[in-house]
Amino acid sequence: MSAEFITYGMFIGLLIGLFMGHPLAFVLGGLAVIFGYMGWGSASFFMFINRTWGVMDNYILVAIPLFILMAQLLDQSGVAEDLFDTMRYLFGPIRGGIAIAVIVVSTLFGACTGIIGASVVTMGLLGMPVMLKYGYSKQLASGTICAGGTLGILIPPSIMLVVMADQSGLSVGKLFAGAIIPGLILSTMYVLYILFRCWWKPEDGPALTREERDAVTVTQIMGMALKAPSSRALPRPRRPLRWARYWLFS
Amino acid sequence: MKLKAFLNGLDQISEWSGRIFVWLIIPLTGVVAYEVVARRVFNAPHIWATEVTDYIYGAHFMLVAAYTLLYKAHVSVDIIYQGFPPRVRGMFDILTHLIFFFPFCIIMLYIGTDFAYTSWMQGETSGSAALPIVPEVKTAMPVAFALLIIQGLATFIRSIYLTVKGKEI
Repeated sequence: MSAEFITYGMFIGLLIGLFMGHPLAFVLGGLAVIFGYMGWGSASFFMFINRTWGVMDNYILVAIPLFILMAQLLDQSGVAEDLFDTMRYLFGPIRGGIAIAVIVVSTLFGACTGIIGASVVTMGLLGMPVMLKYGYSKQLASGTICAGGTLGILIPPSIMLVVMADQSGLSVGKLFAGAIIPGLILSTMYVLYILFRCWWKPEDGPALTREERDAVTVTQIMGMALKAPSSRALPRPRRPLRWARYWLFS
Repeated sequence: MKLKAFLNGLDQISEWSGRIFVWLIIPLTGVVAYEVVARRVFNAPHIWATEVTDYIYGAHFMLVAAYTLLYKAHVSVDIIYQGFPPRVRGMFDILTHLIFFFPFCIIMLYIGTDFAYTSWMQGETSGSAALPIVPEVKTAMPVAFALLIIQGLATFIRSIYLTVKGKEI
């Protein structure tokens, strides 16, 4: 059993297994069992358990469940919803304002969660219907959400950088420090692009109309912006325990 | 519907394993926050903190694996898979479970039991000896794979049903 055959076999097996819709973890595990047995016999199985224990015993990766908890808290508590509403009114008068709001919220989200999925899903649910309602072009709206989502792994803390630090032996702190500026530059570029595109083609991202802008006063917007996370001028009780209830009873 | 009741019973095992072990995240958060404050603010790190964090984290993410499988939340690529009719999807699931899932989980259960048993027999202690629960944490591994096999069995029987009858059970 040559090394080349095992390499190619595992790679092809990975592609086949993945496209058959099986979870990645078990495809990789199954391939390891099959080709490990073919290559080295049953002695290789002890390596699996040592590797698994190595992951269970890894101090760096402890950050990942904590990130996921934080993202869930943000998502389930409705903080993102309020933040997006505030930003929408703040940037509303500008052309393409809602798209800019999506990028700003994604940037702030990127500073809290560290995974792409969380902010793409949240912004897709919050931002997409609003943008389409106000007649934004579909290309701009979906592109904004996807681009904003990628900020999640670039702006620290990010799970990708944690995994990379673990694999490469670099310092997590240094990787985080190195990613801040590029992340912010990218975010600024997105905003500039949206501004330019909506200035060039106003029908892609119209501004809020006069009546909608008058629905909230400047003072209200300033108030909302200052205490964005708990905003909306105290209309209804927030739901801090919704997350806990979600896990317990849903 | 005896089969349905049986499958729901298997689901309930995963459901409750998830609902119970998911709470390990709270002590994990607590220990990490406490240690960071102790180390960075009061400059008084604890020798046990790293290990205890590792134990809770390791047990946490292994033991909720079956719950994740129940809700099909493991990372997978379903872009092509979604396009097939239900029967073909069921057939794919049967194949992938037989080729990948069961060999992997059964081998891991077998070797993991051996691994944990060795640890128990040797009376393994931890580096700092502050909280010597290494055998207990290592036992989480075979337990997690046993739970995965139980949930995988339920998923597997469902896909057989889907392939044969052409509808979900």
